[in-house]
Amino acid sequence: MEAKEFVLTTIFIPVVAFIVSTWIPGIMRKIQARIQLRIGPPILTPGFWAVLKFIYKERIEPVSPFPRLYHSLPLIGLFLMFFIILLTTPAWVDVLGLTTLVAVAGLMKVEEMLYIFMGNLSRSIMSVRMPYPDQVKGAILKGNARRFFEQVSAIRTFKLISIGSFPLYIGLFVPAVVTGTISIVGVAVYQGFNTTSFAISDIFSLKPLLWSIPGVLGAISYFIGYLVILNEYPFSIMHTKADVIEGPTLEYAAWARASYYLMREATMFVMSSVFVTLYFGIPPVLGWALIPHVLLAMILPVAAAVVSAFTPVLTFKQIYPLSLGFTALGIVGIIFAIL
Amino acid sequence: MADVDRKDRAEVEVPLGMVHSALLEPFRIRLFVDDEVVVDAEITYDTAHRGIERMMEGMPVQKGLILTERICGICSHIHIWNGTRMVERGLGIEVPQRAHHIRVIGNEMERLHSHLLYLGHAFEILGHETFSMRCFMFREPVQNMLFFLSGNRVHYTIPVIGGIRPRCDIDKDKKQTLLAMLKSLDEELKAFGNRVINDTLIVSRIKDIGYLSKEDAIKYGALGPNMRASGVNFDWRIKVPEYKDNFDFEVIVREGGTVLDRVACRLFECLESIKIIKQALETLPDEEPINVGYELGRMGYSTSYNEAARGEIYDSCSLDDLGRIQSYINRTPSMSSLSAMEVSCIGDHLTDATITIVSCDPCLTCTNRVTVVDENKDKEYILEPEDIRRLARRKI
Repeated sequence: MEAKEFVLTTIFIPVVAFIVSTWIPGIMRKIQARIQLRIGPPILTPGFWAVLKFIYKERIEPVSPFPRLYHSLPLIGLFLMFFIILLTTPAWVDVLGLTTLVAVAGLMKVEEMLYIFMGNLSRSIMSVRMPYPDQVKGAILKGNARRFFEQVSAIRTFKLISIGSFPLYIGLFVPAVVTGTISIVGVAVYQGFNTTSFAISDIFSLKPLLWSIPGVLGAISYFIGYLVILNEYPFSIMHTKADVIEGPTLEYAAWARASYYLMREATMFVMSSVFVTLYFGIPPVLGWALIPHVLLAMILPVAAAVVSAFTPVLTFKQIYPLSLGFTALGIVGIIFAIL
Repeated sequence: MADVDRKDRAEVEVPLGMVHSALLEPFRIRLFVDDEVVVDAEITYDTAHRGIERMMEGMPVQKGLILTERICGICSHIHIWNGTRMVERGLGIEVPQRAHHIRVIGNEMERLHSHLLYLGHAFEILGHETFSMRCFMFREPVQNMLFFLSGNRVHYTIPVIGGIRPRCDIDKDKKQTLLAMLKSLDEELKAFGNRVINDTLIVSRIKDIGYLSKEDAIKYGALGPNMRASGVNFDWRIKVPEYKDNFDFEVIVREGGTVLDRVACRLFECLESIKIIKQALETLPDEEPINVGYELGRMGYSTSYNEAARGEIYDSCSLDDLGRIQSYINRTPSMSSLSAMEVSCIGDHLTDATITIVSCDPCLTCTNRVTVVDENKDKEYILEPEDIRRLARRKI
């Protein structure tokens, strides 16, 4: 029975995550559009039809020193995200001892690192390769290193990983401090989740961490980290169109762009799903209980859409203090949890 | 790292343009950066020349003036008005006061839509889509007003020599409608302005960047709102008789010299423009809007200055015996304002540098000049006004 559940979970949870995640960009765009007094695109267009369109576009070779590796990075990201959501399911508890917050944090770090690789592997025409007239005529620029937009983005991603994503990891570990375990399912069980049988009606008997002071502080921290890892406004410095345009993903076209969209959509959903598991105590399980999980997982994307509609892109001048501020908030949450 | 070391290090250059999402028009920016802080900048334009001044040579002046309007799609009215004004001054043609009022209305409406477009673009570069779209929503009624006034949303062709086109005359109903539209725009803009100035995140992005001191503004020739945002109290509207004799308004001057000041300056100028339009509508003289009793003929060099949305505009031309243009010079403000931005973006973060450069509201269709590439001699040069004059003196 356990083996059967394991196999079914391994197949169906990523499928559900994939299907649901195609709706998220559309929902976000619709909310932003309504705030901006626009109609906005049909909900499935940005996340599903756009992907389908890109898959069927003419395949274009990226300008990159390692084109195949560059193309495979979004797929690796997509795989990582599905792996993360599986690690939060009760069916995977006994697999190699991986279902811990440490494993999730590590995989998220890898996800962030992918953007550095993308940035270093892309050589779009938008910057260095678009020559100026003096260069065309043969001018030699001595002692002058020219930097691609994507390289600038890679450096920015590194800075974001170093400082910007602190709040995310603090937000991940606040539940561990409150519950005294780094097991993800253990955190859910602490909040009243029953691993053997869980029905929709059992939701009302849960005691979510979110209703506690450390929970609220940790959730705020996690939300800021969510925006950072998604490179969503106001933390979209990595691909701000004011200078680096699309940044590391500038060279993705056709099916590669489709796979990048899928990776991003999956990140949106999975990160939110992890939040629901940690702060509401409802992990993704097969059965009707998956419905409330999916619905609650819309909280973060909706909040992100609202925040991004009202904020400009921040530079590191603002990101550093903001990040440190929200990290401090998370630490206060941890102190409350210890007390 | 010490400055001594910096000399030994390779400079890192981040090139932007010719094609870039932050630059609506084709120009190139070379930013030399230390980490992401701009240590030097180079801005180059002159890639999209259309040769309008040259095209005008030999044209009947009425036709040539229509062509001046095509220099720019945003500030088209001021080009034709200043050109018309220049000819009227040169030939001593009297213009009815009613026509002056309507020309001023056209210019201030144009300033409104130009500034709102600027604000929309600035917020877009800052990444604040909501504010950007709000600006375009405010701009829409202004475009409608221009359509209502002239029958066109772009290229209104309001002035003709001696007055204005009859289709642009304002009757009682038009006046009431325009006043009602202005009232609601005034209220909405004031509320929006308050919101922008009090938005902590927006202000934190633009308050300390793109600093241009008063001395540098004068030295590098920043014009219009860029100059006034650096504390230089000058506006051609306080010298041009059509404005100074008829309307009461305030010249917006700010001392800060930063991007915030340039944005705020334009925001407050919008409110002043509304004030001027209201006054012009309310005091519109009851008379014919055009004087047709004039004769065109030889005219020596005549000049005219005026205040466009982006700053000082200068037109100069001479006519032959048949009233045809011998030579025409049009100088627009973006050229010198852009040069000033080369200085002001130094010390900014890379992302801030683009908003600094764009904060001078560059208009490349107005600015670009002829670049002649002589393939035989393998050299390139830009036509200066003196070259154009020299070419203009050839036998037609």
